Amino acid sequence: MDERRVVITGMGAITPFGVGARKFWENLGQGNSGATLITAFEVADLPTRFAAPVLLDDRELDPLIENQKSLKTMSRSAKFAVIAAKEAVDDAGLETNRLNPYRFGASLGAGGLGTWDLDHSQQTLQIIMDAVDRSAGQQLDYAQVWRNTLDRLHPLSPLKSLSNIPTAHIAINHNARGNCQTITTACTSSAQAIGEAYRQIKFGIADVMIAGGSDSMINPYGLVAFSLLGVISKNNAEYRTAARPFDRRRDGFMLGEGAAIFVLEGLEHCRRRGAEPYGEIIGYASTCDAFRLTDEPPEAWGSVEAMKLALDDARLNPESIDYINAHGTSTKMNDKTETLAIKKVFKAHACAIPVSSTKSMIGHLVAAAGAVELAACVLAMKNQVIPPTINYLEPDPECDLDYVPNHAREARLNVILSNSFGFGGQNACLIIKRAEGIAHGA
Amino acid sequence: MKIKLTEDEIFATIAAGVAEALRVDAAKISMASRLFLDLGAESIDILDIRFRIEHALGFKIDQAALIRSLGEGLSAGQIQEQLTLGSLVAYVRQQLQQQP
Repeated sequence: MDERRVVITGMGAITPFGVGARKFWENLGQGNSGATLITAFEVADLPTRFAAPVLLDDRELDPLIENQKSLKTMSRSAKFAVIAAKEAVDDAGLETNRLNPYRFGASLGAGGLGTWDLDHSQQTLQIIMDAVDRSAGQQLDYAQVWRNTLDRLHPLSPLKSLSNIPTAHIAINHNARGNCQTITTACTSSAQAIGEAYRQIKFGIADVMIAGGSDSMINPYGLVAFSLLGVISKNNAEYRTAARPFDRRRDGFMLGEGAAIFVLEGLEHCRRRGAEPYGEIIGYASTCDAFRLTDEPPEAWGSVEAMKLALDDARLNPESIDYINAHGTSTKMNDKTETLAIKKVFKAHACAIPVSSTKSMIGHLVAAAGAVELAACVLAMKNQVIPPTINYLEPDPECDLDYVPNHAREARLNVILSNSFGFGGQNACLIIKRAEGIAHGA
Repeated sequence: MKIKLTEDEIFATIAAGVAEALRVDAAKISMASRLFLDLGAESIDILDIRFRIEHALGFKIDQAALIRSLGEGLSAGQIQEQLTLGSLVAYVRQQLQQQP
């Protein structure tokens, strides 16, 4: 089959460090942390009271959305996606009116969305509370709950909770009429979305794709849900340094939120319009552990095979990888199993590869994690600097790779692997390569 | 209880809701403004506008009756042509008058 080369020509991000890919790198490259105590809602009685939020509320986010009428159908996550997509398209210098719209698509990873946004969930709770009041506090009048819901919830609020609405807004805003898809595979969502977009171009189905992911789970439901599952750090006393992937003292991840969106296009398309790419996507693979919902198999077969298949797709041997951006959640299980998986794939070379987790700085962005971490890789490659794993103090005997502890490191970065693993046994690996001179025939 | 509002007051209430729902300048809205064709509404905006009017005026709008008030058996295109601020004001005024 005729295969096309796929390059990244635009990038946008909204992260705990603010709006824009530039701000993201300015902080990431410095080893800064987005950790903060949560003040946007009541957390006094929750086991976890910190996160790495995007420190912008609706009053600050809404003016960044061009189509103001669309705001009423946008969750917080959708706003992140639309803002980052605009940045990416502008950054790529893409004149979307000059594209064949049916060969221009979008592929986004998405998570829980508006059902759990703070305003919506608190309004729903109020409706339920009112139904209690009307039955003298004795019991819940369910009929009243549903009547109140119909009468008082905004009729468009259900649209905020549909996973494909951010993708639809992006398609509308940029006139992408080709294949538009939304992938919801938990923490692997956006890595898979980017990988599938890469395949659309590689196999000649699309010329240009807007690809990435967005998520916002720093809300009462998100905190409670991840607490129930026992995967989030409870180290409130040391919240500034609690996200500590691969460290012996780690006790779970810190929640983050945000989005990263890319413009991907075929190399020839990029050359024709004279764009300058950030890099080339040369490998992608996705596997499923088919083992247990949240446990990784002790032998790490799914993540091992995803890395191997991505290397095969890139036609590279393991020694070619200059840096691995790990999934590195800071949970006991992930970091140990990912270390094992890297050792199985890279064998003796594993200890020579720098492996870092940017989740130590920005937390776990769940459905957006893979996209934001690919943005970290693209920026690392551009700047030839490896972002560190911060908060790393005590080595774990079961995690014995070079985790680039605490300080960014200058390095020659030609090829980078980004890992994303998620609940449901989902694994996705992306490999990017430096593209200097590629636009001019190199 | 019967709500006594003048036509101007009803128009002002509806126009405020329409302006907010469609993010258009209230000064550009007149009785002759067509929601779809002049003000850029899409079908979900009508749900939004209805919600805003219901909450501002405290009564439920029967959307089917509202559409019938524009004329019997209208096509989708004709409804888009007919649905003006003026038609909304007339419908709301009639409903308010009929309230006990």
